[in-house]
Amino acid sequence: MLDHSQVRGRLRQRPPMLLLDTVREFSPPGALVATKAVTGGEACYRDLEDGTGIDGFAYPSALLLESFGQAVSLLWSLAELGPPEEIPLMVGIRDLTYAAPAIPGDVLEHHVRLNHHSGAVGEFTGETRAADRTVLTVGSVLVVSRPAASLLATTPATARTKDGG
Amino acid sequence: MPTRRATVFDAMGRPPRTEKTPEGTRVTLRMPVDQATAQMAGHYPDFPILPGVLLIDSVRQAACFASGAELQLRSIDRARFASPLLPGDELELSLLVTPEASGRVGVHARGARADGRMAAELSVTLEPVTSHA
Amino acid sequence: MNDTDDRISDPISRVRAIVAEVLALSPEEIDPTEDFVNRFQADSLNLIEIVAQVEKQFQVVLPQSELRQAHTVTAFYELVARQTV
Repeated sequence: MLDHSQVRGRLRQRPPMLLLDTVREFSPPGALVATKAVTGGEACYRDLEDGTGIDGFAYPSALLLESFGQAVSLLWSLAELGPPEEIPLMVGIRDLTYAAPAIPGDVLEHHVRLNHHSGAVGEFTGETRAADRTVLTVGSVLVVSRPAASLLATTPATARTKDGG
Repeated sequence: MPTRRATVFDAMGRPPRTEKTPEGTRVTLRMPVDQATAQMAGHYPDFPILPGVLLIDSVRQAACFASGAELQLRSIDRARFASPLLPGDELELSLLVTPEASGRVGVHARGARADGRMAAELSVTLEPVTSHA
Repeated sequence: MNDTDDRISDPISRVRAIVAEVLALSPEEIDPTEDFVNRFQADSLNLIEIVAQVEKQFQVVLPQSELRQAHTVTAFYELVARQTV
């Protein structure tokens, strides 16, 4: 449905944080299946000691969640939930559970559904599968969109002036 | 440095402070956001901000340090991200790490920016890394 | 012990339960007429969470312009009531 060049065109992330390959299905108004292939060539595997068994290749939980979050952003974009010039940001997560690990060779399939949306806020649910395994279940993710300008520093970050106890 | 698990970034340039209390181990980690410069180059090219998932992983890393064990994330019960962390800023994480009878580890954490604004609050459950396929 | 506690059906109690849950409090701690933003230091993200839950559970859309002043349980309830005529 969307090839990688089209996915990349709808996301603001770029490598090494672009963690979505394709959209396989989009069922308007609010369901989507997106994919990401896990490969041994990824940066997260670069420093693994020689002889590490396959358990050491479990795809990091942080990246799995980020990839799911980008599938949510794709659904946000395809369903036109917010102004296209604004950026959807994940502001809340509830009841998310990691199940079987994902490893190089797996193609992650993120199944994302829109639960509720209004104004510039959307609530999503879903799960991630790889072959016959469930890798992640997501009870609820809350997304709001913000103008990019609001994410730029307006005042310099100030260092602490007193040492907190 | 070679590792036995895949890694995303190192939150632990400075080791955290730990303190055992009756409720669990209190951990304080001060992490310069610039530890994630490589990731922020792509998140996002014109307005880098610390990815929320790396903030979560910083909590995991700090809990590993406090527990002396390699722990993986089992669940995020609740997480909220209130304000973004930008390059040059410093994340101050305060954790309460509580071992559970099951072998799992409960963690409640708050993250604040250098300006004192609350950046994130998390309740997560960790577990020892699996050592079989 | 009130054995109907788990069958919250009146709208004010449901709004109160939502506010309590978002603020990680028990419903009894929330006075429906009190400004919960002030009292419990609720932030703008808490308000987003509350609005999302209220809209979802009551199947309404709350007008942005009126949300600014809605800082009590009863104010939220009244907003909901006005949308469901």
